[in-house]
Amino acid sequence: MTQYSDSELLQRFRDPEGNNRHYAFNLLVKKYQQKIYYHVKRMVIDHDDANDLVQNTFIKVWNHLDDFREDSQFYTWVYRIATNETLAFLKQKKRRFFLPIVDVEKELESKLDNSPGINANKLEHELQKAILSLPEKQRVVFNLRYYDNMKYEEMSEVLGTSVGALKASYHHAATKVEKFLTGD
Amino acid sequence: MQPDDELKDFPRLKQLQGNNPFGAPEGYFDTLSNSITDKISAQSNQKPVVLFKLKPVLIAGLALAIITSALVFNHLQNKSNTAFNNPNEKLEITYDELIASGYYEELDENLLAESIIQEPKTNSVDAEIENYLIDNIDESTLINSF
Repeated sequence: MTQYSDSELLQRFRDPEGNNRHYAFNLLVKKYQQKIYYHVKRMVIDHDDANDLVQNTFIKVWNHLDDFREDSQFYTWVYRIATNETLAFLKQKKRRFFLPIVDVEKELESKLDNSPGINANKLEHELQKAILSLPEKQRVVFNLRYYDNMKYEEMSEVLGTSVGALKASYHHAATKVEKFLTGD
Repeated sequence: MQPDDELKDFPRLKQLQGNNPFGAPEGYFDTLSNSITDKISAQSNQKPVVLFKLKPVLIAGLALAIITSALVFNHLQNKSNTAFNNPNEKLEITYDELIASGYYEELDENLLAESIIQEPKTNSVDAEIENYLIDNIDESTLINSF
């Protein structure tokens, strides 16, 4: 399969002839589906929740792609939509069940223990529990940096936070997780 | 890849970096784009509900319903207040009125029977004439007069 750049695919999507719209969109989905799925799944743990959120993310991408002005990279724009969807989902979950934050964490921990889609050894399992103990936004920062190796400048586009604040947030998160793992 | 010095103080994190314990069901990524496209097609086939057009109609309907119920309630309350406040107002209803109103089926059967066998009241003028005739005219004259 020919690997098109994002801007080429966007151009095809916006082609006034309109023949390539679905084709270009499908290629964009295929290009980013795995990254977005794992980014969301690390936050919500459950496959069904992650699947719904990923689908909603790409439907929003389809609905707003004509308005995307390319001030940021397409890739960070999709991450931004997915992150907002996920944080809104977690917030709604707390509101719907009147759950305190600790109970949402416990629910996610229990999914971590019982979900069939997780293949982790004991240490990796402990790492996931440690990450779940972080506040949600710090968790996003940690995951984007630690798992997705995203640059701070790109994270800044995703989260709308300054690079300095993101560096500090990542350092705090890493310190907490390391302490959790070493039992200090 | 993160620069090495970023994790130099976090040996456990450095050791585990690069592992992704999360998986996806088999074949999930082969069908995901089709599921999304199907949802998008379904979405574009749905007739859009234009809320900004619907809203004024709903609001007007609600307002009308509230005003109507307020007027009806007010009217009923005034009516019942007038009946209780005016002692001359006729509150009882006669059997004839009840029957005429169509609620006769709900009447007590005994009451209905009593109303049927009850003798009609004679008025005072008729009674006076009757008494006069009894006192002043003998039976034979009375019989012969018919």
